[in-house]
Parts: sequence; C-alpha cells; structure tokens
Amino acid sequence: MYRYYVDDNPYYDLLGKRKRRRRKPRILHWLFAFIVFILAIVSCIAIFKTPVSLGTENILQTRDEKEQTTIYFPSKDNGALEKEYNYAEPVPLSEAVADDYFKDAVFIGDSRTEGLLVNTGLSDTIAYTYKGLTVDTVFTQPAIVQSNEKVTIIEALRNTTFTKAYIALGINETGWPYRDVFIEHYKRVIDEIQKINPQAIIYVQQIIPVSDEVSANHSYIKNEKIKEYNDLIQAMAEQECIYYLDVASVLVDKDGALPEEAATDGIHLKKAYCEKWLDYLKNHTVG
Amino acid sequence: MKTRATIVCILIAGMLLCGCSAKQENVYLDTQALAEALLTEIDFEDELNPVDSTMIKILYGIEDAEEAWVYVGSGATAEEVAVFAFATSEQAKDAWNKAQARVEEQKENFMSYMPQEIDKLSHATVKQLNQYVVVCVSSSDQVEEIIENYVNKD
Repeated sequence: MYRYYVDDNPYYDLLGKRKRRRRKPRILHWLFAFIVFILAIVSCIAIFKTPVSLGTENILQTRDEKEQTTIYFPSKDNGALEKEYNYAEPVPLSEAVADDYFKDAVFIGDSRTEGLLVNTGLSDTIAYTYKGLTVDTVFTQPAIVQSNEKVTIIEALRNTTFTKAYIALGINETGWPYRDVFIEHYKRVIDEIQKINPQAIIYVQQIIPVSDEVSANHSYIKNEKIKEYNDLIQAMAEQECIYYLDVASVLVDKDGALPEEAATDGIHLKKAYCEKWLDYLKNHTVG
Repeated sequence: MKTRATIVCILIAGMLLCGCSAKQENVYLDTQALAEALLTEIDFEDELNPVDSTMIKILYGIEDAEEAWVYVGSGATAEEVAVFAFATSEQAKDAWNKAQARVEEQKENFMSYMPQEIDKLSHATVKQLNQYVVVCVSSSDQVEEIIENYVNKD
C-alpha cells in the first residue's frame, strides 16, 4: 500500500523548503499604477506648456476684455520664443503683395467696395458686392448670379472656392437704433463664413468715415457713430480671431474725416482714394 | 389696257420703294472722339473714369467689341458713358440688348439705394447706329445732339 503525501501546506514543500507563493493579480493595484502613470504624463505636459518668465517683463497677463494679451510660447524648433497673433490690433504693415494675391479672395461689401474694385481695375477677384448691402441682406438679398439665377451672398459663398475674405460692411447700418444688434448680426455673418470655409483668412475692414459735410448734414450717417461701430468691429475681430484692417488710417484727414476731394458726395471714394485703399490692402496681409 | 398699265406701274413703284428701304446707310463714327465729347460737353455730377476690357465684360457682358470706351462713376451716381464699335450690325444689336439689360439692372440696384438716380436711368440714351452702340446715363438733354455731330453718314 502506498502512502500518498498531499502537499497541502501553502508555505513549505514536502522537503521543508519555503514555497514561492503565486499571488493572485491585484486589479486595483494595476489600476492605481496606471492612474499614477497618466498623472505623471499630464504633469510633464503642464510643466512644458507653462509660460517662461523673462525677468522684468510681465509676459503673462490676465486676459480681460480691455487688456491686450500677448502670450509667448517656447518654439519647438530652436527654443526661441514665438509671439501669438494679437487679434485686438489691426494687421501690421507687411511686404506688399501683387494683384494676384486677390485672385482667390472674395470681396463682400456695399457700393463703396464696388467702387474700389471698378475704379482700381481689380477685376481678377471675386466681387460679392451690392449697393446698400447690410449685415442682414447678406443673408436675404438675391444679388449674385450663379447658374443663371440670382442668389444671396451667403448662398453664393457656399458654391465658391476662396481662401480669403475681405468684408466691408456697416455704413448702411449707421441708421440702426441699437449698436449691439448691429454687431450681433455682423458676428452672424462672420460665423457663417467660418462655417462655410473654416480655413479662410477673414479680414474685416473698418468703416471708412465720411466727409465733415455729410456727417453734419446726413440724416443718419455720422462720423461719431462710425467710430462707435468701428470700436465694436475691432472688439469683434479679437473675439472671433479674425484680422482687423485699419483702412481709414490712410484715407482720412487729421480730424478723422474723409477729405472733401476724396469723394464726390462725401461718401463714395474717387479713383485716387480707391487706389490708396487698395494700396493699404496690399501692404497689410497675413498670408 | 389702262387697268393693266396702272397695275404694272404700281408694282414697279412698290418694288422701287422696297429697294429703297432695304438699302442701309453707311455710318461712320469716331468712337473715341464721341466718348470724349460726351465726357467734356455734358456736366456730370460724378467723376467718371475709364475701365478696361475685363471690367467691361463684367459690367456689360460685352467682349467682342472692336473698340470700346467705357467710363463709370464712383458709385455716388448712376452716371456712365459707353461707346462701342463692332464688326457687324448683328453684333451691335446683341450689345445693344446687353446695354439695355445693364441699364435695367442699374435701375433695380438704385431703386431702394438712391432713388434720385432713377430719373437719369429712365432717360438714359442707349442707341444703336449700325455697327455702333452708344450709352449715356446723365441728366443732360444734349446727348442726342452731341451724337449727331459725330456721326458721318454716306
């Protein structure tokens, strides 16, 4: 008769040696280790992205609606600091571009923009202009012929290939009673264009002031109101991250009004001033 | 006999009359001189500037003119001058239709924007003279007279 020895001792084998216990895998331990690993990765990323102080310069500023914000990030290439674009400011002076820069640009505007294109001969571009155009009629006025049918400017944009948009609206809305309604509707135009073409560079242009005579005598077009609207447009450009063009800076006199010789009726620019306007656009681009 | 002779005379007269009406006058027009005369002799409110052939095609849809002198305003008014010369009167007829269409479109555009310009557009001169087309939008009533002074007929 054989005797069978049953190895039922979990700690020692039959020869008296201590056993190596195989422990059951503890899921909780692994989960904890994984969480710690993820936290370590996130911490490393956070440390990498934190702005670097350069001593006396106050690089990191608290963002609020009134202050300009300039944030510096370490460049991935050579460690030099690169400046993020400040949308609160007008597009700075740049190297002049030729007419063909505007070949794939769409100009959206009223009769003043129409005059710009006709008087400067900038014909190799996309002109979506209409006399009296407003931030509302961009959506509602059939103005552009496509496939033998007149469609609204927004509808036309949906069927248009473009990489840049130059928008100049606002003077026809200076008769509106509520400023916030104007800028809210302008934002809708911007939002729609961004939805149609998220990659497009959007330039929004200042409303060009009118002559002193028009400002004094017109029933609703006043330079003071134009200035208020321009402040709103500039703030909108910052919020929407689009490019603001200070076109009036090269067109107005020292009092901020359009000179008498600039326009027959104090509103619509003559050829010489249209050429100054186009010249400004050619010297203020971002890409 | 008398009746037959009368009928024959009437037929011959009719044929002569038809022949006369079928004969076209040859018209010659110095298009550049006429355009300049319209610009200088009419008192325009707006500053009119010349546009090139690409812009003419955009504004009028005309691209087959042998000569084209087109001057448009700043946008402050609907004032405009255009003088075209074509190879044939058929081409001129087609251009005349396009010029009429432009004037009608301008009326539509200015109606709500600047209704005071509608009168100029309603009285615009859009004239075909054989292979020539002349367009003038202004408040002047001298346009026809100026055109007559520059038309040479054979």
